[in-house]
Amino acid sequence: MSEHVTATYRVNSEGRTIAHPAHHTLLEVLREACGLTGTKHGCELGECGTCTVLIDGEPQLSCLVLAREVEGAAIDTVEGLEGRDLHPLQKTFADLGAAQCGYCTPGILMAAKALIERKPTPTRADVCEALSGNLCRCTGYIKIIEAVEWAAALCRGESGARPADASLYGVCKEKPHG
Amino acid sequence: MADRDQPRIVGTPFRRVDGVAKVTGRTRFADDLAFPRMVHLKLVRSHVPHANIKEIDTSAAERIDGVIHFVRGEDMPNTFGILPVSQDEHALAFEKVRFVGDAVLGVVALTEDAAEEATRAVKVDYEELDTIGSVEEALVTSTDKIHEYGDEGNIHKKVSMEFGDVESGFDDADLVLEDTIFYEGNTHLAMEQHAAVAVPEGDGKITVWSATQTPHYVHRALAKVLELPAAHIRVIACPNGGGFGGKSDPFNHEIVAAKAALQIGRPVKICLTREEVFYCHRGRHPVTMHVKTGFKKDGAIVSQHLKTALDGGAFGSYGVASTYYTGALQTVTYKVPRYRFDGLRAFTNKPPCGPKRGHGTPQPRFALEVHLDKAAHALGMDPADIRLNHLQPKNSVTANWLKIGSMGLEECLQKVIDGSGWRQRYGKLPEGHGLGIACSSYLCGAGLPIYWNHMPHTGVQIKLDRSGGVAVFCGEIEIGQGSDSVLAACVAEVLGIDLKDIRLCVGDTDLTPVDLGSYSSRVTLMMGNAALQAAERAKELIAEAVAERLQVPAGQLVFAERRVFDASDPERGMTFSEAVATAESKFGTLGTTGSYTPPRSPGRFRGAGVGPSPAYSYSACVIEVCVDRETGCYTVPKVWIAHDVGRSINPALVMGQVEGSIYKGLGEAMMAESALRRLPKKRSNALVHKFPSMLEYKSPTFLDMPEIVTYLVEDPDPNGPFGAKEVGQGPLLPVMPAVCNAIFDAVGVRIDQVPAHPQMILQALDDKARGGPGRYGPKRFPDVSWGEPLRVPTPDEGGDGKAINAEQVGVRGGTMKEDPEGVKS
Amino acid sequence: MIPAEFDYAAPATLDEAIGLLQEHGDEAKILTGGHSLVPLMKLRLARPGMVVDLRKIDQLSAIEMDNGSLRIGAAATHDAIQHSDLVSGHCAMLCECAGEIGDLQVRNAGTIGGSVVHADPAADWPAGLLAADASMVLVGPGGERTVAASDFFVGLMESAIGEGEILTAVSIPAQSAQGGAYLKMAQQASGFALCGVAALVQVEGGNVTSAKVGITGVANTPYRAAAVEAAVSGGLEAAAGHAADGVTPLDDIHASSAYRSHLAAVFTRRALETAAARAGGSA
Repeated sequence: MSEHVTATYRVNSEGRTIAHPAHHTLLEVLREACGLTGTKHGCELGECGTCTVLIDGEPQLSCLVLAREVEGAAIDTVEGLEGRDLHPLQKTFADLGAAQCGYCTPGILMAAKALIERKPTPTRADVCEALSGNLCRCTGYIKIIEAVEWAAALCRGESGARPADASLYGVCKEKPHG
Repeated sequence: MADRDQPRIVGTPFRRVDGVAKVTGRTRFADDLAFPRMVHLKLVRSHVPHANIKEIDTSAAERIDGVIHFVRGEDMPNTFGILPVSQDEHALAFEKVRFVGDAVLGVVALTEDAAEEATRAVKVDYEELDTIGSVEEALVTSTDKIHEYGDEGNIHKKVSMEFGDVESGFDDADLVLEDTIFYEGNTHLAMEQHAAVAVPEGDGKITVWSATQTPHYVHRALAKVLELPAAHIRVIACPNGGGFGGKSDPFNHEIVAAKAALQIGRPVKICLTREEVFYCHRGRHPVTMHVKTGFKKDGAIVSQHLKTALDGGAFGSYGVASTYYTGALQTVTYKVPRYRFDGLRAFTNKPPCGPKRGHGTPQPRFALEVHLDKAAHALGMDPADIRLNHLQPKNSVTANWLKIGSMGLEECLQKVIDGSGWRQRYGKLPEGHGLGIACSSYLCGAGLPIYWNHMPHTGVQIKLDRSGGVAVFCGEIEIGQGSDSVLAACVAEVLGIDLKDIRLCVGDTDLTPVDLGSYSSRVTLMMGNAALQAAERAKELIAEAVAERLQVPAGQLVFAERRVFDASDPERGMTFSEAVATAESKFGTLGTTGSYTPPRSPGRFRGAGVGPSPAYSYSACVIEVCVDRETGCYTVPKVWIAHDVGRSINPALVMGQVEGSIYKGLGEAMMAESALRRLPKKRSNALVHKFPSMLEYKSPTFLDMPEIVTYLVEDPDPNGPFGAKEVGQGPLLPVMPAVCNAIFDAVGVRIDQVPAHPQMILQALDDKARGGPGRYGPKRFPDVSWGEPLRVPTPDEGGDGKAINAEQVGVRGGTMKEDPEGVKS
Repeated sequence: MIPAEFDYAAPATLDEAIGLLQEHGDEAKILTGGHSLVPLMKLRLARPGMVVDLRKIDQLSAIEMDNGSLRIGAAATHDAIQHSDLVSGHCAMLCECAGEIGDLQVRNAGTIGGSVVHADPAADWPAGLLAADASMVLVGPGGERTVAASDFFVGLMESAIGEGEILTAVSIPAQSAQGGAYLKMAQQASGFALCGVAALVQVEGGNVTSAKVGITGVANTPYRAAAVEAAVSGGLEAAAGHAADGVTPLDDIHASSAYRSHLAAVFTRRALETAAARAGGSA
C-alpha cells in the first residue's frame, strides 16, 4: 500500500500532526485525513475553483497543491470561518440565498475572505475579478456579489448596507408589510 | 383560521432553512460520507464507441495491492432505465458497449488510489462495430443497431400528430414562413460530481446514499436489478451539489456500488471524476428543427408545423418524453389554432442525452421565438407586438389539449417592454448594439407520473409532540432550488410557528412518504400543496382541542407567533407547545398526512400524457447585446426579465432562480456545447469530447454576468400553494432566442443555431457582404418518412380530446400512458 | 483524482536540485507551481517517480535588477510579477501579460518558470517574453547558459531546455520601447489564448517607427511576427495583416485556422494601436 508520511499542518490556526499517503494533495489530506469535508472538489484538475482554501492568506487550489508543499504554512478552510457567530460573509451568503446548492460556497467564501481582507472596500469589478476563478452553476453570481459587498460593509462596521429591495423582491413587487 | 392572503412567512425573503449548513461546510454531500470498513469502487469504462465485448482480462489488476473485488455485468442481468418503455441499460455492459465511457467492470479496492490504478490495469478486448454519430447516420444505418428495440432501425422513437387541418391553414395564410434551426447539445455541469455510498446492513438489507434528484426511481431500479424486495432497500438522497436534471436518472454507479456492497459485505463508496460525469451526461439533446408557420397580416398564427430530430445518444433515458416535449409546449404562449408536430429521436454512439433544465422545450422554444422575430420583420411589425397581440388566453384549452389556468405573459411582456425602453430603442441603437425579445412558458410538474399509477405524486407527513417541535417528512430532495425552505415555510405558515421550530426529514425512502423527485419544476406546486394539506389537518386537530379547552369556537382561533389564541381576545390563548400538548391529551399521539395528485387533463390521445401540468409559468425577456463586427465577439451588458411565478413563497430565492436561469441561458446561447468529434479510423473512430473536462467545456464566469433587471409578476394560480408556480426552469427558455434576435438587431444577421459563436457571426456578416441572406445555420432537416399522423380534432373544432384515426395509425413502440406496466427489457 | 505515487524532495539549494535530477534522470520532474504538472500527473500523462520542488530555493523566487536587465526568478508567481513595481518600471507590458493568465488562484500558485518550460502553444508568457527579447537562464550539470526566447520555444509543448537542466530565471534586457500592450482573446473554459498578442513600440511624431510583436495561441509554437515588424512603419493596419505570415494556424473545436489567422491580424493591430497610444508612458 501507499507510503505514508507524518507531517504537521497548521489548519485554521490549529496544529495537526497526521499521517497520510505521501502523494496526496492538500484536498485529500483536508477531507480525508483531517475530516474537514467542508472543502469540496468540482474537477480536481484546477479548473473550477471549488476546492479553494487560503494558504498564508492567499486563495489557492487545494487540488493542485501537494500536501507536503505546505507543511508549516497557514491553511484556512471554511470550517475556520465561523467563530461563536457566523462570519459576516457567512451571514450575508445565508441571508441572500447566495448559497443555493452550496457546493461551490466554501471555495467562494474563502476567495471572498481573502479579497475583503486585502481590499476592505472592493468595487463590483474587484469582486468579479477576485472570484472569477470560482464557478457557480446555480446562482448566476448576482446574489454572491451582493453578499460579498454587504459583508465587506459589515466588516467595515457599516450597518444597514443590505442590498436594495429590488434584488430581494424584483423591481415591481411591493415589499409586504412588516 | 389560516389567512392565506396575509401570510407572515410566505412572500418574505427569509433566510433559507439550509442556509447556515451550507455556508459553514456542515451540509453533508454524498462524497462527504464515510463509514467504518468502507472500501472504494471505480468503474472501467470503454474507450471505443460501439463494440462487442470479447474478453475482460483482470489478471494484472488482481495483482495490485489493495484490490479486493471485481463486479461484472453478468452478475446483474436485469436491465433498468428511468422510463418503463426504455429499460435499456445494464449496470455494467457485458455484451456490447455503446459509447465512449460505457462502464464494463467495477473494481473495488481498499483505497481509491488502488482502485484507480487497477482500472488502468484491466484489459478489455473489443470487436468494433460501425459507429453511428448523428441522426442522419442513424436514419440510414440499419445494420449494427445500437439497441434491439425502438420504432425502426436506430430510430428510438418517432411521433407524428396533427391537431386540426394544418395544410388548409397554410392556404388561408397571408405569409408562410419556414425555418431550419439547430440547437447544439450541452450538459448540466453541476459543481458536485456524482457520488454514492452503499452500506449493507448485515441482514440482507442495504442503504444507498446518493447524490440523486430522484431517490424513488433509484429505489425502483435497485430493486429490479439487485432482485431484492424494495422494502429491504433504503435510498437516502443527500443534498445535491446542483442537479439541473443531471441526477434525475438511476445510474449504473449507484447500482454497482450496491451490488458490490452486498457481495463483499462492506460499505462501498464511489465518487465519479469530472470526466465520468461528462460520460453520465443525460444533458440537453442536440435537436435539428424545421418550423413552418402560416401568419395573417396582423401576425396571427393560423397554422404551424414543427418537425424535430433529436440526437439521443446511446440510451433511452427520458428520451421518449424528451421527444414529445419538443412538440408539446409550442401552443401555450401564442394562439396556434392548427398544429402539427413530427418528432423523432435517434440512438447514436454518444453519451446518453436526457433531461436538462427545460427538458426538451428550450430547443423548440428557441426555434419558435427566432422564427417569430423573422415573421414580425417580414410583416413589418414590431417583434414585441406579434407576441403581445396574439397571446393564448388564460383559462383556455390549446389546440393540443393543454389546459391553461393563470397566464401572466401579457404583464410580463409589458414589464420588459417598458423597462428596457423597447419602444424607443429597438431598431434605433447605434451600429453593433441591439435588443432582442422572446417569451416562454414552462410546466409546474408533469400531469402524469413516469410510470402509470393512480397514487399521489407526493406525500407529506407531520409529526407533532408536546415539545412544540414539528417534524415534517417528505421524499423531496434539496438540490439547491430551495425545496426544503418551501416545505418548512408552508407548514410554519399554517401552524403559526417559526421556521426554526420545524425539523425536516427528506429524501429517505424508508422514512419519508414518496415524492417523485426534484425534476420537471414539480416540487413547489405539488409538495407545497401536500404540505398545506398535512398542515391544515394538523391545525384542525389542534384547533379542536384548544377550542374545547378555551371554550372558544374553533373557527375563531388564530395560529400565529407560536401561539394559538382567540381572534377577538388575543390574550386568551396558549403557546403552540401547550396547544399541541392539549391536542395530544385529547387525541393521543399526533400525526397527519397530506398528498397531491394533479388534476386530470382533457387530452385522450396517445402522447397526451406529455405536456399537461397543473399550471404553467410564463416569462418574457429583453436582452441587449453589443457586437464587435471585427471579431464577431459579443457581450450582453443588460437583461430585463419578467417572470409570472404566481406567487413567491420566498422572493429572494425566486430572484436567485431567475438570475441562475439567465446565467444558464446565456451559457447555452453563447458558449456551452457538448460537441463531440470523431477520432480518426486508426484510433478507433471514437466520438469523443476533445477532452471531457472543464478545460474544454465552457461556462460563464463572474466576469460574464450582465446587469439583470427582474420583475416578478404575481398572479396567483388557483392550483398553486398560496398561488405559487414554478421558477426554476421557465426563465431560462427565452434567453437563447432573445440573444440571437438581439444579434440581428445589432448587426443584421441571423444566427439560426446556438451556441452562437463569434465565428458564426463573422461568417454571416461575410455572407451578407457578398449579397447573401446573412445567415448562419443548418441548411436542411433530415429526410424522414413520418407516415400518417395521429389526427386529433381541436377544441375549436368540437373535438373530444380523442384521436379519430388511432386504429389506422396503430401502435409503434409504447408510450408511458398506454403501456401501464411498460417494462420492455 | 489522485496522482500515482511518487517521491518528493524540496532541496534547499540549486546544486542539490541538479544533483537530484542527475540521480533520477527521466524519472524526475520539476515542480514550481504544480498547475501544469499536477493535472498531468493526475491524468497519468506524466508519471514521475521523483518530484523535485524548487520553491524552497529562495533565490528562485526573486525579482531583481541585474546589470540593467530584469531578472525574474523561475519560481516567481504570476501574481507576484503582475504586482511587482520593478517589473512595471522595466516593462509594464509583462505585468499586463501576467494579469491575463488564468484566474487569481492560478496566478497565486503558478509560476513563470513552470509556464515557460511547459511550452503550451497558447500560454500567455511566451508572447510577452518574445516581444521583450527575453532570454532563459538554464542551469545544468555543465553550468549555466542562456537561450533567447526566440530559440527557446521550439515546438508544440517543446522547449530548448536540456536534460538535467533547470530554468532558474528569465532575463529581460533594458527596453527601448515607449509603449507596450498585451491583448488576448481567451478560450472561455481554459483561459488559454485563442490569440494573444504582445506588442512593444517606439513612436516618433505620433507614428510607430519600430515594433516588436510576440504572438501566442495561433500556431503550434509562439512566434515573433517578423513580417509585421518589418512592415510597421508603413502603417499599423497593413502591417497587422501579416500577423500570421509563415505560420500554420491551429485548427480546433474552439477556433478554425481561418478565424485564428483573422484574430491574429485584428489583435495585432489593436495591440500596436494600444501600445502606441500608451507610448510616452511606461512600456
